[in-house]
Amino acid sequence: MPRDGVAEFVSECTPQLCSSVRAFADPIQKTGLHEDLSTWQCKCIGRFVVEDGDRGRAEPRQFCRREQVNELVEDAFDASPGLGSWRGPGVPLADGRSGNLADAHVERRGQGERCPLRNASDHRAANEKKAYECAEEQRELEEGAPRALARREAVRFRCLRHPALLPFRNTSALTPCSSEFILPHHIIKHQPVFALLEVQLAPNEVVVAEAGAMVARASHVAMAVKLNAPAHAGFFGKLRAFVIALVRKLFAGETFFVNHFSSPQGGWVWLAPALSGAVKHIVLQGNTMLFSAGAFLAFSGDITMRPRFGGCRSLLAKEGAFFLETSGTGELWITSYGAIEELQCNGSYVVDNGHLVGFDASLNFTIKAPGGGLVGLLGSGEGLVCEFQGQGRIFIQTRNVSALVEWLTPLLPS
Amino acid sequence: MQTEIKHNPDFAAVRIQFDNPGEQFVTEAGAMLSRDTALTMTTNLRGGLGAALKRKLLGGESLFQNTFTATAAGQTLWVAPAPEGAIECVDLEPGQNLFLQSGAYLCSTTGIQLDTKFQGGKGFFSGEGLFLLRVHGQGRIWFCTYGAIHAVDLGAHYQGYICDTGHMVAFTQGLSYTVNKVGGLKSLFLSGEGLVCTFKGQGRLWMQTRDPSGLAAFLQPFRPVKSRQT
Repeated sequence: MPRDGVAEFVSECTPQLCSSVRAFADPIQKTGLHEDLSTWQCKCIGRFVVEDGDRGRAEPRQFCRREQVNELVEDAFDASPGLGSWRGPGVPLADGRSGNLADAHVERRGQGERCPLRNASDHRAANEKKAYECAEEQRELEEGAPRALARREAVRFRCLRHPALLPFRNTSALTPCSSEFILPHHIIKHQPVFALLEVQLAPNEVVVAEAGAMVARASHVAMAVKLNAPAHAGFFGKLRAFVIALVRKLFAGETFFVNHFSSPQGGWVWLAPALSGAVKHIVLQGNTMLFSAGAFLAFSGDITMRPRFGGCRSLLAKEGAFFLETSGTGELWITSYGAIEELQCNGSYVVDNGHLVGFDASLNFTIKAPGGGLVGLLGSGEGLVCEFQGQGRIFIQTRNVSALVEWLTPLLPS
Repeated sequence: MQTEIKHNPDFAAVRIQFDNPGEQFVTEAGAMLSRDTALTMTTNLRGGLGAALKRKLLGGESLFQNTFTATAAGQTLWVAPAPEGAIECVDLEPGQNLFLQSGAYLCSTTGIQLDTKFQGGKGFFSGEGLFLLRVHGQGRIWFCTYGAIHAVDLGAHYQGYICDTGHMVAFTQGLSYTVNKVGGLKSLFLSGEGLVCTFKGQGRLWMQTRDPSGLAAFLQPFRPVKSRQT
């Protein structure tokens, strides 16, 4: 029985369930429903971690939104007391290897692949940092940003209720020796300072990441360096992509190429930005968002990126005149120097140019002087600001690279 | 006015929400992250040119300060400093003084005044500049550090306290300090500690867990070298 600290729950699936999982997974890919599934937050991994030994209130927070997993876990436990098996430290796993928490690993069924570094202290750190995200959501709720939140919740819950996933929701499907839980497709660890993004790839799923962002990947995951063009692009599409890549490189602060990660049998890849700072997960559902140059870390799904000129006045701003316009359907991970805060613009809001990470395309923006007249322009130290009009989300970062450089420069010997 | 410090201790920022129109908030130049458009911002030399120049030249602060005035209830303002680190807030009553290392001031309510205090020769040797910022008046002041904040109450548990000059950020008025060598000449040059501040008295001392000059010394070898012109 688990005691203090982190305990593990190892699910032991019957071969029948394995095959039934495959049975419903295959038709999804064939009928094109897979595209829809690419927006779900969760994938199936035959294991999760709970804090504390209290069966009724297991909280594998680092993997999933608490509510979701709580529901699933509680359902499962209520339905079948003999479900799966609890493993404490040192108890051998089903396949005979040691289940010691210090070198715990995620077992991907049918592959037996080891995913390193998922040890107990890692989980604890992830748990603590997850509290940061929970608090963030709580704040959104309190601050009256219900629309944004409701929209995102809707995404999640629709995913959970996807017909293909219903076997998981249905407690009767969770037989005593089988437990399959819906776990997310990605984990962001070490927020908000030294964020690390871990993405689990579904078979043949492609994750496109900024060049140089990879930290580690499963050995069977292939990496291809590509221009950032849609897969179905013809010659002119490729040419266009080349020009866009050139513009991105020169003006938008992004790298010329992107790396595509994929594998026929799935796998995992870890990504990290260059600077210290946070990583934010964003779901696009046909909507368009704009990000400041350098904010892009990775995306999966059918997303196109192109630079958008910010207007003549943006040329005066030191943060670059181009924004990155992303549109389509899929998931996007953005990064910034500093922590990321989500603000809701209801009407009009002003953000310092250097602290802007991204915003919904539903907002109109103009780049202007910070106010306070000429003295304000020259003496306020704010440089130029972006003024937004309309309804939508704005992401800001709490630190600014150029301010850091200005602070640091006098300290350095000349 | 409701205020909240978020993301301590690494990328701290202050969120201010105004309750009433007409409420004002003062920030260091360049510290604003974002705000409601309807907030009015004025940039001025608070306390006149003389006081502003003194702050700028002697206290290491910006010449101008920005004053934000609410025009309606519920408006918000976000403020953050340049260096990575934490923010601490202190409430001051009339007659109380808070001394800040130069450059540490971030923002305050309007009842707060900034002044400089000559430290004498010890300021020159301590590496903190000749002057400290003296904060007084009534209200609340926020200051920033590089690294996390460690606060110590002197008088109750500690009769004296020694802290590295580069890590000293702020202290209350009951404290006085002298600048000393760590030990003999050998430790001055070899211990890597340089000079230390020895505090006495009763009050609170705030230290930062990182030293900016340590970062600068660390980064220096990584800077690109300009080719020598012949």
